[in-house]
Amino acid sequence: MSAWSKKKLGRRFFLGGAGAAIALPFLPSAVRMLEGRGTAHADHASCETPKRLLAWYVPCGIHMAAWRPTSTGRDFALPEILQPLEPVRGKMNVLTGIANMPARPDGPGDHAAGTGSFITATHVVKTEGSDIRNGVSMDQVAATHLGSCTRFASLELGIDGGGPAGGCDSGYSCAYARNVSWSGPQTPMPKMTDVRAVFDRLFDGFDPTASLAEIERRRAYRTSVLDVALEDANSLRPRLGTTDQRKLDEYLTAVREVELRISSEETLVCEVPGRPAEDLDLTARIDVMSDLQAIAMQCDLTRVITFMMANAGSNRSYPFLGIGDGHHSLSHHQGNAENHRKLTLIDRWEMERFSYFLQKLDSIEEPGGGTLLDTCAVFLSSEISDGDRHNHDDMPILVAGTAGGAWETGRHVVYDGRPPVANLFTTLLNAVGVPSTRFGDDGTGPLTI
Amino acid sequence: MRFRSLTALAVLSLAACDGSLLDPRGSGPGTVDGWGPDGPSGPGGPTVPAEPGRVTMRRLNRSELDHTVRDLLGLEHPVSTDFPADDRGYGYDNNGDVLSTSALHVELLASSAEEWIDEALGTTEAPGPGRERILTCDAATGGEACARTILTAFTRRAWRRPATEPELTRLLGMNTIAQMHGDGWPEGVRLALIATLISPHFLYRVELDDPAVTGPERVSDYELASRLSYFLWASAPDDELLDLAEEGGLHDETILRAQAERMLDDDRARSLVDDFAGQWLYTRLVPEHDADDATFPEWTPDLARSAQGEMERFFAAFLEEDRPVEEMLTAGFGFVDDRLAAHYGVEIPTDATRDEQGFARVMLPDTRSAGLLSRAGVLAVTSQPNRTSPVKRGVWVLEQILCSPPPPPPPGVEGLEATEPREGETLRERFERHRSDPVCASCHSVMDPIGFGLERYDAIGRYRETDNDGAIDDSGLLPGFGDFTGASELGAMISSDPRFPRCVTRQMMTYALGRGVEHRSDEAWVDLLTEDMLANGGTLRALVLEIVTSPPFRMRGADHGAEDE
Repeated sequence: MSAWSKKKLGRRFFLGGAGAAIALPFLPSAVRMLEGRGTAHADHASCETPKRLLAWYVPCGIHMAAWRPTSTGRDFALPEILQPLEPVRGKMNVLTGIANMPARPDGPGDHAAGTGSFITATHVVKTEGSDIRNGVSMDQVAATHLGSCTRFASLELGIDGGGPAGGCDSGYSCAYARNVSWSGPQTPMPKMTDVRAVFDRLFDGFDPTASLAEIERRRAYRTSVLDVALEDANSLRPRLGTTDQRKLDEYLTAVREVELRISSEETLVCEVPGRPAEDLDLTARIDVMSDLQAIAMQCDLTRVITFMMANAGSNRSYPFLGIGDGHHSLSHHQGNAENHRKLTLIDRWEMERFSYFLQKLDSIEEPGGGTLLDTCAVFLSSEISDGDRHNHDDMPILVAGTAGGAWETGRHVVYDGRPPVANLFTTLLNAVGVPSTRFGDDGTGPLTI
Repeated sequence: MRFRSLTALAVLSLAACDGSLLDPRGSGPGTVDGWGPDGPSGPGGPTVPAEPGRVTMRRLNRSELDHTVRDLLGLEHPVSTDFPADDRGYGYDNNGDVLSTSALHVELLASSAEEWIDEALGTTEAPGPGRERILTCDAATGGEACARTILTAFTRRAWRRPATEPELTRLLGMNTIAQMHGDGWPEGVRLALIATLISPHFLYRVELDDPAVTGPERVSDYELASRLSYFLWASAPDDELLDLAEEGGLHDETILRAQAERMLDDDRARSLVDDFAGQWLYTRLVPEHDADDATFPEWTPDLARSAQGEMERFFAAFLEEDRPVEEMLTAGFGFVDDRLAAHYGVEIPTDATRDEQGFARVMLPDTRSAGLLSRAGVLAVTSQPNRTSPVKRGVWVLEQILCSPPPPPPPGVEGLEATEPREGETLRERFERHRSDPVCASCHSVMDPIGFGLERYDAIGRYRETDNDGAIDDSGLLPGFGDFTGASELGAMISSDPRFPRCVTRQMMTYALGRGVEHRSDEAWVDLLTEDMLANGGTLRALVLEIVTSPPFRMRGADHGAEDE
């Protein structure tokens, strides 16, 4: 694959030493070398059969007229936007009629509010200041339960870091517009947007050539410097005011999590692919992010991933699709046929990317049979439904994979009565083995897929 | 001169402690010395609680991390490129309330700190840029005494204050871990240096309350040194500031002003261009502007960098040459390189002096003599990818220049712009066709007429006489002020609008304090500092000096606990 370079390894490689660089496509999961994992997680029965939860975000809603299948059940015709998913249609469901009403903003700001609520199904507080407040997102609920099985409790990935100046959306904090993953009411999980940085992070520290003594020494040193930092923080904390204490608590939580990661580090040795090339175009960057998500799960480095194809209300233009207008500007289509045509092209291109990802997952065989996709529950949606109306009552939703056979696939399921997406999140969480009975602001129980 | 001393601050603290309200312009007990009726700004003004506000403990953002590591370790390259983007609050990414810390930050800091230290130290054979300064003795032979010397000096610079004895002991304890694994003092020192950078005392700008004071109080001299250095340099205090702090003299107003002047003249004040103006004026957005390749093939990454370079130099000129800020929207001088000169259709005189990047200072034609309002960078980033946006240009003027944000649009009607043009119809005519809806008109009648005045510049800032073959009408209306025609008249109008200097103050205060101008006393401080700036030439330098000597900058309010949230 041209997007990947075999030549150069990241600088961090040389700190930990490097595994052998190999070219993609990935080796099957069977080559994973499990070293120490069994003992480290022997008490985690749920770690044994991996189930994975992912959420993909696309910006500015979807042109629903070219998305919604005209018939229900199994043999529906794929509408124009969904056609790129033909190769994997048997492994996914189209769900229509589901609402995310907590995503409605207070006054203007649908994009930021809808993105903040994307997988929290919680109404966010409209503010640019210290009183940001959201719920815990579905992926982070899952990470709390599944995180100890893997080196990374979760990965947060995206394409756009966010503009370096200017407001985000009508008085809503940029934290809402840029982050779908929230580990606490005030703690967005920032995402990584550079493919090489993601690669370096995933494969930092793996060193199959290091002696046990060397690994032990490195771990002891890394843990010790963090211990000093923890002691500094603990002795500082009582001397701080209330607000500052809350800031320091974020730090304390983060340091403890990194310590945990280091203590379980290097027990898993994974074959390392080449480092991604630089200067990729947009399509290649998204596809490489897909590759990285696939290998992160294939190597069992994480079981929980969120990915944002852009940030809230993205105004990116798509010259390679012949579209010079900004996406957000276009999404206010005014019922204009030419705008509908362009939106359909953008949405269809987004589904081409998603299809690439699903096919990648489906090409990787699992040791226990089936494919990596079969072990996943992948949720895809946007912050709003229609770009002109900014409605949240009929969201565009796909669910791919079955988390090990939790539901039938290949169907278009139409829901009556606008059930809350929070209930779908309960279903997805339960499917990956995470207890949840009510989710978000308006959840009432699981939704049958 | 105001703030001749801060001796009255103790009185202020006591007065605020019992909840009494203070008139910052009043005289007598309980006022800040100098804020009397005979002060430069004269009598009058609102009665407000004379509280300085309270900033939330700030994590170093990416820019501050880059600069701090550069000054501490000698690493010249940006070190934070892998770190996630920082959120902004009230328009700036140094806002303590919104700078959160995730495991990703700490993980990156931990692995990066190891790299930074190793790169800075290098080896005996191939020393790194920080080796000589940090390793002032040989730990292999000097043992604990040498380690203590090294770490005492390093923590003072890294933590922007002297370390306490327990803190030093903790760091020296790294040697025990090193010895357990067969390493000696040099490795113990290396680990302690790494630990210093992972510590919250490095990552955060910690300010502590004096337990003996319950009301507002002066920040310590070391804390004031950091406030100065992160405001003016986005970096750590240098040795001169730390030495002054150690002597306890930094709150002396003469010293404080002299230091601020020194710092403004230092190269590190470049951060005011990159970080303050970059966010205030949107200079940072220029290289990221997504112009449509098909409509505007001329807008290349090189041209974008030239347009950004001009804005940066233009702002820097106001900082360095003590020009009144009101000229920012009326000035006809500019900085162009060959690329931008061609874009503007001007010639660079052959005898013009050029800087290292090829920019020459020139007088631009009348079409470009409305300062920022007539320059390509601003005009491009306030456009859509394939056309101008009177809305975005109007909003930029209202929000960034006048601090008078337009009323927000009602939900669901944001899409007025997306209707196809008719033949021979200018964008303005198209917009006006769609403003007939009274619901929409309520906001657009405020924003659009400002942007219409800039319609003679296309979406990448080229001057034009027609739009879609129709003649351009660039008459406009500045709400609350009056009618105008074209960029020059708009610029002249804004430069005489009292909202403009007040907005400059508000923007710089927000950046200087690292918090929103949202405290109950803040509006009064903005008024007073604006008057002081105008009384002292109306320059950015005057404003900086007024800010750094003001109570909000030199003091912190009491912790009100949960009610502050």
